[in-house]
Amino acid sequence: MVRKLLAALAILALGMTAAAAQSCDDIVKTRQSLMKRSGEMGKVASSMIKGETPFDLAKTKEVFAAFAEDASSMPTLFPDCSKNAEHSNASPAIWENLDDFKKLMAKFATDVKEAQENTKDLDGLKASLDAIGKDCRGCHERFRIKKS
Amino acid sequence: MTGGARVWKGAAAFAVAALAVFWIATTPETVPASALPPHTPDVANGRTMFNIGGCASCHALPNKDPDKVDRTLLGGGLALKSPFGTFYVPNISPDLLAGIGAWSEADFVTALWRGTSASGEHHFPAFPYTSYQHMELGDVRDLFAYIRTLPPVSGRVRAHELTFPFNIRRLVGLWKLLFFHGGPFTPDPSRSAQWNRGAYLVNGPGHCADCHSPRNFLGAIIDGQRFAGGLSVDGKGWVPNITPAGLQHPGEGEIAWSPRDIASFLDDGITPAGDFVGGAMVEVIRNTRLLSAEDRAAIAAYIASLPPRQGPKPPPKKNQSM
Repeated sequence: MVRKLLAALAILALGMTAAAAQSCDDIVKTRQSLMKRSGEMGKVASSMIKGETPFDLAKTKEVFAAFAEDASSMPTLFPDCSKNAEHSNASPAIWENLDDFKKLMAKFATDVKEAQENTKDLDGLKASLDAIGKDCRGCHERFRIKKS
Repeated sequence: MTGGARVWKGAAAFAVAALAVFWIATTPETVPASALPPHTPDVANGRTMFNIGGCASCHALPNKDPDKVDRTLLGGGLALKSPFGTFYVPNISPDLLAGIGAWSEADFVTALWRGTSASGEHHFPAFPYTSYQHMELGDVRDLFAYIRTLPPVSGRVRAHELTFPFNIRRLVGLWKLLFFHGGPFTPDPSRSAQWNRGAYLVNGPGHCADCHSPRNFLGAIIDGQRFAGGLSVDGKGWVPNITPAGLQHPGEGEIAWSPRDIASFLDDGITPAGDFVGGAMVEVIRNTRLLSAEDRAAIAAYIASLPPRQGPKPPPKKNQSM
């Protein structure tokens, strides 16, 4: 009886570990695809600022909506289990400076919210992207490390 | 004298002779003041050299928040980890005691052109004089004039913590014999003025290859793979290949770079894929965004024209831990 119980517990534990590991992998993939989309959206915005494409308020709102999703999901996307993830450019510095990292994420969320509320024209977009760009840079400089 | 004693005497004589040869061969070279013709400093040009040279990135007083660094306070102190130990970047503010306030112009030229200090010792090549040696004399002197307009910062920086035998300065003389060649930049008359300006900025003050190239076990750039990327000096990240072998063969999620993309990137740090660059390159862009658009375009034109080179392979990815 005890042996059966132990066996059951072992299988359960294995299953949980497997499930946890898989979800950790998924988390890394999710954050990578969110960042990638933010990059593509960022390109849309910066091409408007550079005058390569005409200013489009609808597109601008799309860009900020993508950033806002990024900002709201981010605090959950860097769990401890993802520290040594393969293919990830997240630096171990994140987990060594978790407070700083969270502060930067919060600032990003605030700046995006402000951008959503206040951006009406090209000048507004320039100002918003200045602030948001600074947030991107701030995290990327300290917490992103190219591995290949 | 017995045969054995004769051998020892011979060996001792040889050792003394070898030491003498070594001592002479590794004598630090200097540029005397008499070698400097009259020159009216152009402080504005000096500021440009200061920006493209990236002097503040190493020599400014460090701050945990890189956006809060004051570029005009060159009190040093930044720790640079390397395979040879940790270098502590010196104070080069115009402070008389702690910085270079007592240096003459010739001292400064000697440092950038010969890698020799004002006290006649070799500088360690963590200071990239292998690149700065290509700078024109006028630009070096203008840079000195600009630095002298900045505020003095007191406080000498601690000595480097290097592992034996890399802490022996005289041995740098040997390193220089092997790896320190060149001299001022010579333009290529078959290329445009813009290309030559770019080549000068990149290979001289910009010292881009110093990060973007792999190094051998003695810390010298592997010439055949210059600009082809490699492990960063502190061993933590991978610096990309910026020859067309890298820039035109983008990895996942990236897009091939045009010269316009490169110039624009040096202004705002945004890659052609819309990504915001991270790591040490952010600090470079803090400098290059202060240049003129023409200079950024020149740098871009030169980088885009580099011969394609394959660089070293990045280390294999870590296995995912369960």
